Amino acid sequence: MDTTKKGRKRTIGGKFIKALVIQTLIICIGVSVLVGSLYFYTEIDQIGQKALSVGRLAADHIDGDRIQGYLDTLEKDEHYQEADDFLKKTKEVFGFRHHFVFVYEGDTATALWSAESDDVLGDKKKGSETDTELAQAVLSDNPPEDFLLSYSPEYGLCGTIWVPVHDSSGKSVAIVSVEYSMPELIQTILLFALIAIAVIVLVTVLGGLLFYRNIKMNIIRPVELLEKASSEMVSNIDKDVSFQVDIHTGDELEALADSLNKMEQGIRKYIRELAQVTAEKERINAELNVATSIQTGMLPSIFPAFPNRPEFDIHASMDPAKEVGGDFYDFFMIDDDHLALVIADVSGKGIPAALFMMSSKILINDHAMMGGTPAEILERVNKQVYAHNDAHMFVTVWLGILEISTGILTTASAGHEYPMVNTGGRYELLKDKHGIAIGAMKKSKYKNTEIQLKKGDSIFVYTDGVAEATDADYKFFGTDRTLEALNAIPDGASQKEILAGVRTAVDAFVKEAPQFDDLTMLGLKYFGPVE
Amino acid sequence: MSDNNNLIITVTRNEAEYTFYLEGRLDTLTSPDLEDKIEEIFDDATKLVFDLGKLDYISSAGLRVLIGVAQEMEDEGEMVIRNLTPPVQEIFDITGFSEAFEFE
Repeated sequence: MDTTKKGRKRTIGGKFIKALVIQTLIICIGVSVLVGSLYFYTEIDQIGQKALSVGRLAADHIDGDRIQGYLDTLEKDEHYQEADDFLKKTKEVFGFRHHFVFVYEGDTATALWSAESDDVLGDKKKGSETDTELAQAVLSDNPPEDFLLSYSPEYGLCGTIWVPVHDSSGKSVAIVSVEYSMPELIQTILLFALIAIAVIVLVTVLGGLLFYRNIKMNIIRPVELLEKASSEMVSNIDKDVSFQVDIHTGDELEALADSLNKMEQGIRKYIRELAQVTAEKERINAELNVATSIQTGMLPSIFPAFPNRPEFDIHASMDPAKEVGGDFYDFFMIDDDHLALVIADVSGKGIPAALFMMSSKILINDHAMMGGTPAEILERVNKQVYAHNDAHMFVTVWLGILEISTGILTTASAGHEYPMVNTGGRYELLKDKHGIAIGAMKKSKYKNTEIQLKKGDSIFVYTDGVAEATDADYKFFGTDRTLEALNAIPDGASQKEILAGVRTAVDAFVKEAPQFDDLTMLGLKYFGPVE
Repeated sequence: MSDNNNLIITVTRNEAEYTFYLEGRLDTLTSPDLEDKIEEIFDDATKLVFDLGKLDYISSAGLRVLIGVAQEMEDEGEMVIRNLTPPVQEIFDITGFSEAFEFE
């Protein structure tokens, strides 16, 4: 939470102002440089042009043919005086720093006129290398028209222009030099730049403020509203309070607000429905639990089941794969001498199988109590089940009736797995006669199989959940392994222990694979009639 | 879903006769698939053939689908099962369903 709060210190407005300041700065610098340099070059060029014109004027004024005479005799005639006046006047009028005329030969300059002094004619001065180069260029047939710029702290920015003087034959014989300084130019430019910057800053800041106001009203405020509404919505989503955002900007933000409002309604609706569904699911689960306990309650589950009947030991167990299953076992006394044993498996799983199982169990019990052999009982039950079987379900049933006094066990099978009987010291498959599962056909015939149980003999019946328990590789536990497991249990074990032993063997085989089918077993050991 | 891949159903048609070739396991998890496939074509069919030559296992749920189809076809046409593998044949025998169907 702390980091989000830190992050919140950055606002859209703040970011905008920062961007505005940076932008103003860049514009100021750019415009100042651009305008300043433009002004600078225009100004310099203008002054330079002026100096060039004046220099040319002076050069035209001077008679080039007389120059050699002046140098030879050092005598000043009328023309010399006139030219001297001209130079002095122009220097005064235009405010040049130096204005003079000289002859340049080799690397030496010899003065002719100077606007500062009356007595320079014939003065010699050695020029620098740059001066010599420039003089050669100026005296050539194609003289340059540029001016040289220099800067000295004493005079500020200075410009120099040399213009050739021609004689009557057009030959360049002397040079007019114009030197001028521009001390105010830099100040003017600085002032100009300062004013320009001030104006730009003023304009950008005012424009930015107007723009910011606009953005604040049209974007930042609505965004803040949206942000507030959505965070309140999130923290109050479980309460029945609605946070509708009211924005009418007519643009994407209004559309966003509308979507947010719709989303909020959608989420509330979804939460309500989810709560309903969850409640419904809980209700169904609760009902399933009740159904499971009703189903388990239907099966005899108190052991020892017949504590006052020492003639036999009976035990049974059922582990449904789902909450409610389709397997069932049952045992009950038909009369004092006859014990009925039932094990059955309804096709399918879950609630439908459980419902079908309940009705089958009751029908079998009812018809067994009415009397008859197992085969007769199964035939009567089939007729009833088939008549009301719209779901095409069926149930495999193994029914045995033990005559306790004689040890005769009569069995009939409606498509159920073969029982395993131990009559000679080892469990073996009893291939009793088979009819079709109950509910599959309208008229089914079943046959009785009779076996004689002696003292100490036992029988084990089960559903396909045992033989068809499957490991991760889809291998079946199978009847052979079931028999092996039964025979591995030591003699003298109780029926409860035998069932537990088979269960352990199945679990060891299946390991992690999920249990597909219900696992139901019933075991009985006959001890013979009471003497 | 991967469990449903344990059954491969191939259907061929010859006019109103449909043949279903089943491969794999027909159990609680896969039998709804078969039921759906049969449902799709049930109204036009006058003969249904189930070829179980590659079926490894059939559970009571699978038998229920077959017996349901057989009962509904009783009035409208015929239904035949063929090519039972030994383990499947055994299941048909034990449950007594060998009596309930017509085999080829």
